[in-house]
Amino acid sequence: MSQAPGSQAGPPSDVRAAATAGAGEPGGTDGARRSPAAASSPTLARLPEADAQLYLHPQTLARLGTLELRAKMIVEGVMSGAHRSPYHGFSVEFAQHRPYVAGDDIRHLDWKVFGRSDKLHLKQYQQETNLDLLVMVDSSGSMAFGSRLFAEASGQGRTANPRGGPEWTKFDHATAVGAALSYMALTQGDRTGLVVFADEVRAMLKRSSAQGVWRQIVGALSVQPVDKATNFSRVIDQVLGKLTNRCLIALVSDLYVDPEEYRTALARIRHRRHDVIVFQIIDRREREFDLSETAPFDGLEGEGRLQVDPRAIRRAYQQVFAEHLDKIEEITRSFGFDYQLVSTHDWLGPPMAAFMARRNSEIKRSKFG
Amino acid sequence: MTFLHTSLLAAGLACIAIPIIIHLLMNRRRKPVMWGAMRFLQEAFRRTRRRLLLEKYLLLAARCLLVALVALALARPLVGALGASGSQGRTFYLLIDNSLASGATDDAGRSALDRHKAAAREALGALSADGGDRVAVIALGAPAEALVLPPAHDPGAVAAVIDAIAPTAARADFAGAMALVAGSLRPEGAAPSTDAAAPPRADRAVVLMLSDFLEGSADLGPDSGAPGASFAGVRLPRGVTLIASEPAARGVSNVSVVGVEPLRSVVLGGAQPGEARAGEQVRVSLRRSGPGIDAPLATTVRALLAAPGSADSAAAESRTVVRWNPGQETATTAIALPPTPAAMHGGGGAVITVSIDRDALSADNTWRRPVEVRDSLRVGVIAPTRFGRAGGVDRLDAAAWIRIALAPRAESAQSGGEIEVVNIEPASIDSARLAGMDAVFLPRPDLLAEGAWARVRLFVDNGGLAVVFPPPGVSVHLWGDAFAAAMQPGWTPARQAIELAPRGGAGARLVAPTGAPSARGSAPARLLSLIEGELEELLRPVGVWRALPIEGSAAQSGETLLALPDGSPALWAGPIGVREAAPADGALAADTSARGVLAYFAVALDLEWTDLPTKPLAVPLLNELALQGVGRARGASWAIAGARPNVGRRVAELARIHEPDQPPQSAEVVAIDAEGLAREAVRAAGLWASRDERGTRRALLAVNPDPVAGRAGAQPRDAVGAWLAGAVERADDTAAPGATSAVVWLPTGAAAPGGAEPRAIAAALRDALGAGAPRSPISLPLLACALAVALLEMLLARWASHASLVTSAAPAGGAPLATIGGAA
Repeated sequence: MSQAPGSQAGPPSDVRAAATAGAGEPGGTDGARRSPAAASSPTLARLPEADAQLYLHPQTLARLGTLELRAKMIVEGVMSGAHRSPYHGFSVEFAQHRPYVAGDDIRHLDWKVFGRSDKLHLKQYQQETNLDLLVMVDSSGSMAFGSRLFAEASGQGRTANPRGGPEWTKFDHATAVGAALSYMALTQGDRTGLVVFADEVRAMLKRSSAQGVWRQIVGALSVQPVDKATNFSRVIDQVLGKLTNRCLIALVSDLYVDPEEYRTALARIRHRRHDVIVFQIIDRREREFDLSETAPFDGLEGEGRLQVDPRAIRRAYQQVFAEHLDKIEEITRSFGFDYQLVSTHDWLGPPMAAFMARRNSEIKRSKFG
Repeated sequence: MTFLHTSLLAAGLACIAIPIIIHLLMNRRRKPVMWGAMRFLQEAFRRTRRRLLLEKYLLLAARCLLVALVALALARPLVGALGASGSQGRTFYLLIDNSLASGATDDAGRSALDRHKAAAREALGALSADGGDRVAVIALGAPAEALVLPPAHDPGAVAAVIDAIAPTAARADFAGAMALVAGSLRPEGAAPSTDAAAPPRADRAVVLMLSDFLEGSADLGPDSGAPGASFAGVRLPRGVTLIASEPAARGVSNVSVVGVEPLRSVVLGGAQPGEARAGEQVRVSLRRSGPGIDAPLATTVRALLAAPGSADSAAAESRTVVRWNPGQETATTAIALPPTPAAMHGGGGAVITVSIDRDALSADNTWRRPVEVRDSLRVGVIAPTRFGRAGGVDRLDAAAWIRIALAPRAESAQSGGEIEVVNIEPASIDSARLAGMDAVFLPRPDLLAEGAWARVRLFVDNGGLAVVFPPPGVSVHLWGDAFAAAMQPGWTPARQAIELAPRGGAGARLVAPTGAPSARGSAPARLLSLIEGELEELLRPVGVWRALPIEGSAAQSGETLLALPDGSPALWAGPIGVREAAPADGALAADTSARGVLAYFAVALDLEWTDLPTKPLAVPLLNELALQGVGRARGASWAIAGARPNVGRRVAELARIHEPDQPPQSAEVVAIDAEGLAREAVRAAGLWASRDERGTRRALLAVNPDPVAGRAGAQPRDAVGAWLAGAVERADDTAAPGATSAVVWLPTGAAAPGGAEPRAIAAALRDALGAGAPRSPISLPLLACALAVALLEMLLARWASHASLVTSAAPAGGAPLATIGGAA
């Protein structure tokens, strides 16, 4: 059984301290400064910081321990690592030859080529760099929905989520996905940061490669309120404004947003040459809509109330829902980003491992691989 | 369109509210569901809203339509001619004979009325209440009484009414019953209507007559079967079905008391208590009918004089036996009254009760006749008093002659005699003084002031007797104007006396009128009936030289007891206050029971006018005039059952006097109208007391069985059928009489010994009626439509519930929602 990285790290309460210290800095959280009301919110203050193991089951950790998180696009980092760097120079991995021009360092001449062809060519190498992973977790009101019992999903004997509810919400599942991703990044020495958003960026955790960061991420997520509507464009603007280097952005959300707004946001991310992995979290009941009693439905994001017979509109609902999922996936893939639909009713480990393996193989087959 | 069961229709239409209420309850508030993917829910609802509304309201409409169709089908609508007629099935008119003859009992002691009631109940059971049959009940005891009319739907209530029918002592009034039926079928002034209260259709009307049709019930008459002759011209509309119980195959042997006539209406008691006055007899008329008429028979007649309502069984009664010869139908016998009970001395009303042996028809075995028992009569002679001795016979005036004639014995004139004579001065007449008199004689009417005549009129109206003589020694009789104006006898006396014979001669002779009895009826009712036998002999020596005759038609308002040689009344008696608009028949029948009697003797009791005062006739003539006249003036003392008794204008009501041996009757008090007639007919025999507005008893009234109704002979079925057939209009009214095809006979047990089984009655009634109640022609199609709508509703409900979608699409066993990475 693998040991969770950072198990010797400080308590999760460091998250807020770090967030406060990093406010205004790239990769640092500015939630306290941007939303003092939220920072001083009694709800936030009351929420207990969850045990990180609630969201990463040991079996999941075992599956994730052997995985490697790669960036599909070229990223630049301050540390050499497993990722390709956009800076071609002198490294250990050959990249290409180019003709020698005056002024080039003759140390990089390929003498073997000169011996065979009497031409001077320089030998260029692919530089490996480190990966900055930014996990963006949606904490809008719709993420508070869940139809699975928390006790069943967490496997830790707890019957209530950190907000007191008995259900395993989509936000809980998003927390687990974020924890898993940060765990994988940390195991390969990459830096990991966190952004929690709804109608705006609620909290940010600066990127760090410290081993206990994933626990801080879980702790930070567990104290976030889950409400408000989603303003995706605004959130992307805020996040992109704080990113100075290219990152791998893991977007974990139910993506109940307008597809065109979503497309615009991804385009801006793509324009900044960031790589994106989209994890769309849905609940099985939301997709199946297998209710049988007429009841008033209240929207979690303040959409109002609607009394309907679920059986009467089930088919239309499923059709609308499927159209939306298809649209989101289509938009995501149209930018070359990876898309993964995740159900709260599924264990995270096996599908996550399968997804990462498939992604890595695709990267290797690509021209960058 | 009308409905056979409007109540079901109303209830069913009210049930339409049930699906609506359920629909509203479905929208009640439930626990809200917090939903994250609300935008998709709203979008799905927006896409399906019109279809959902259509489903919902289609389903609601289908359910309401289903309830409405079922309600309509159960209400059984009638359309077209059936509905427009307003008819709701058949209408039965049950005519039940409860006349006197219906009391005839069979060998088992069961009366015909009981059989009729049982048959009526069985007939009710054969009706179809669901089919909208209605029933009316009419009792035939005269006058016919509508017990249930207009026809009712409730057989239970009708059965209760039938059970409560009591026998009467009247004849059967088929004509009145037919008039009631005809009035129900063709109400006057009724506008065509389509509602349930519309008159029944004639072709759906059934008249069911339950009677034995004995002679006393059905008077077939000589021309039975002639169109319109049977029921006083009443004709039922064509199409009415006549059903009648079989006439009795043989009647019952019956002896009836058909009349009891005391010699005088006032019975004078003996000088000593317990002593009967000699010669006080009653004449009893009997009649027998039925199959036993050809056999000799002995009937014991008992007479009893007792106070009304007394239970003195120990009272003495007198008996006599009437022996019938074979074939003899009527008999008359005289029976002496038993001694006057001591309790009656001092005056008061009494009842002569004559009864005979009990037979099969016992209701007519008793006859009651009220009489007045008096120790003596007080007779006032209104004439001036002459002082001093009168001298010789030729010096006696009319008043003196009257006193001598009324009280021939000097001691009687003072007190203790039969007639007590009181002298009254003409100038001192007052109402109080007259009220103490039973009769007044007026030998000098010319001395009465105009106001005095009004008091005399009041005295007569109160039941007094006034005997008026023309005053002697008056050449022009002007008093007649005031007399006629006050008394209104219907005639006026002449102004001048006429000379009938030259003075000194033998004088003209008075004659007793002969021939047809007067309007009062039978001969014994006449005032001078007691001396009728000797009247001719007593009149022979009497001579009359002068008279003041009557001018006008006196014969129509009263009776002529003695006549002048020219036939004009010499002694006239009759009522006062005769209305100018006399009945068409000219008889006094309408006023026979009026109280008060006025007598006018056209000859003054003066030797210048006649030698009557000196002749033997004077004493019995004036005595009988006083005794019988006082009795007559008391007013009617008996009536026939089924009639409205005339008891006089001063009577407010009749109150029944309970007799120990009679069951209580429903009507205990009968009101009297302004004309003195009872407001309703009295159908049961018994004793009644007439009371004024202050509740003071004024007189007794006996209601006796109708003599006609007691005839118990059977009548042939064909004759009865022809008689009944005449009640219905026929297409060809000139058809030969005797056509009985219009009458359907129903066996009720009267024709055959042992009686018919009730089932046979019901079966026969069903057979006679043929087709049943009208059936709604669209009930079945409506039910079929309701079934189709029910199926449609099931499909709609299945479709709108979308239950199949949930079942088919429900995830099984918690299968994974989506395959991770499956879309990649």
